[in-house]
Amino acid sequence: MLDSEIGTAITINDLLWKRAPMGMDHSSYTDFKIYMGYTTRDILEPEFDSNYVPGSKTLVFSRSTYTLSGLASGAWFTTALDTPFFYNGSGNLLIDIEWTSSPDGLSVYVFNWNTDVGRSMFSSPAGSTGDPENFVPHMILGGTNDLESKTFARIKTMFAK
Amino acid sequence: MNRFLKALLLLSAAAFADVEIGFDQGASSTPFCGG
Repeated sequence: MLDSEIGTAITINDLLWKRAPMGMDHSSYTDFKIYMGYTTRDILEPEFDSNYVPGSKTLVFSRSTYTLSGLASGAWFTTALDTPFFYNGSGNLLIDIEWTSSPDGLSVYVFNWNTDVGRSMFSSPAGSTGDPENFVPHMILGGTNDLESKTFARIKTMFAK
Repeated sequence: MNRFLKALLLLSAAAFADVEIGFDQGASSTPFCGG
């Protein structure tokens, strides 16, 4: 996600996806993890981890089995993060999703859009590199538009003086 | 009292900020591919 698209500092609590009218309304995924971080790139490079600003990769969601069920066609569904991610409003946001298998082999389809450049990477089976894709899911970053806590602490200090 | 309530509502609106990115163009099973 480009910083120009996000346009604000935001504490991201949820990721919302919009189910497309195909595939299944349920599935499950083993060792499902979501990482978030920053990248300086507008177009991603094939080696997944090379895209991160060093030190910014953060685990925000992890399930040994992640189950989706009863997803209505055309409706948004939510992945509530275990650990909210504070996006500071500067730099592009990386969302990195991995899982090892899907026991029932069913796919849930979500709406996406064409960015015309390689803004996503996909690899199956998962490897250290992936293939560039132009399509990015239509998403909502669900969150609160607030300031970093240390900013408040500094303001309080100034008032105290 | 009426003004006070309106102020609270404005603060509440500012505190919650969902950011929608993209639109419905195509569809894919990524990242929820079961295959």
